[in-house]
Amino acid sequence: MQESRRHVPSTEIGALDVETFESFYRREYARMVAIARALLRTGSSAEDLAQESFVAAHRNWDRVSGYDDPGAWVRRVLINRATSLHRKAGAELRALTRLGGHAGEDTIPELTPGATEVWDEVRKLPRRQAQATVLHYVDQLSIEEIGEVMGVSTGAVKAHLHKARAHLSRRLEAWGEEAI
Amino acid sequence: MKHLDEFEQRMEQAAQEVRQSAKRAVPPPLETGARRTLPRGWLIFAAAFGVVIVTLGVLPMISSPEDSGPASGSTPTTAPAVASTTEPQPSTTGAPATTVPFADCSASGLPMPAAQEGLPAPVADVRRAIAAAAIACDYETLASLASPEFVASFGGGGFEMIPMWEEEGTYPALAFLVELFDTPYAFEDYEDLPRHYYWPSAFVYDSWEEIPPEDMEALLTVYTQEELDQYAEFGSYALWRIGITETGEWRFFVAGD
Repeated sequence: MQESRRHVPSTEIGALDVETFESFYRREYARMVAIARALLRTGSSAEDLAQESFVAAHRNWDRVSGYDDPGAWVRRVLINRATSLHRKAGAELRALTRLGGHAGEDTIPELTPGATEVWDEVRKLPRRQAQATVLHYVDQLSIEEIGEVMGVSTGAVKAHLHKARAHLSRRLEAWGEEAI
Repeated sequence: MKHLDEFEQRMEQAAQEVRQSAKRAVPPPLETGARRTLPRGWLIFAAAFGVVIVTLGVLPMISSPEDSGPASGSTPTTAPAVASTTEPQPSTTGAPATTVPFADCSASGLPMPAAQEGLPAPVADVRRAIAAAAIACDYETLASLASPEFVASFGGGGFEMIPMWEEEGTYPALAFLVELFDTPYAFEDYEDLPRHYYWPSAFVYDSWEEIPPEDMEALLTVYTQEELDQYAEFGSYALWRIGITETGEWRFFVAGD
């Protein structure tokens, strides 16, 4: 796994082989926003997070562009920040609620109540389980690709997904029964 | 939901909705201002891009205000973290982009913890150095900051446990380190030992019930409510905590009782 992330100095790469940051950014933007949207409560936070992750990539593009998959690097930065932001956002939201304030407006469409329930439940999972779940379902990555992003073995990814599915299926089943 | 197929179908529908929703998000243009009211992230992006264009080099890392001032109080004593909205900003001085120390680990991309009031300078210095090294995934520097008696793990183990956890994916140890430093701290005095400073402050209370609400709230920036509920059965806080002596020795990063 680590081999594929080997840093190749830019001097070893022909100019035509290195994707420009701008094309990478435009190609990957929606996918990063989708991952962030599933991991965070609000659409505007998701866009901010995606942009901040691309900022980190831009700062290090000389290095990141040399990876086999620069997108995996950005995804890792994004999911790490998302976990932290989600929890901080939760505290901020609770504080706003107490003060009678309102969270910022989203600029991307709201999710339906059904989808919102699902992702709210995913965000309650232990962080690695939540990350693996979002990368699997939203970003449709393979087990190997998820391992690459999370920096863990394929076995660990399978374990995280197994636990997440078991928990989520119980929770969502309970909802189904409550709805009836 | 009686069948796995139904579960998978619901997950896929929810995922598809998120993907469709995200497709509406148009990447802000690189050269000009953001398309909507400038979010903090875009401001940083614009600043970074501008700096790169002008200087052909970027420094990533982190500068935070100096922590200062000795703490005073009874034992145990807690102090709140100082809220800060300052994100690490690229600098226009220093090493060029090609030498930016940015590796991959669970703490990659996390912001530096905010400065905290009341920490003695040796403690503040080592706290900041540990957080910066963790964000840079710099195990070598981290190891050099650990005291010779450093303990990691549940009831034993040395510094070597930290890279092992990261490598195995067992625990996102470096992310915990950074996030815990952003929670309130506490210190305790001992007869035969130097004063110890602890993150989070919850560690110094004998029971969960004694932990002040604001300190509990701070724990939610690191753990989910369900994780806290799950571990409340231990009676007192026994999750991850960091200990640094008043002389600036990083003594432990452990979990468990």
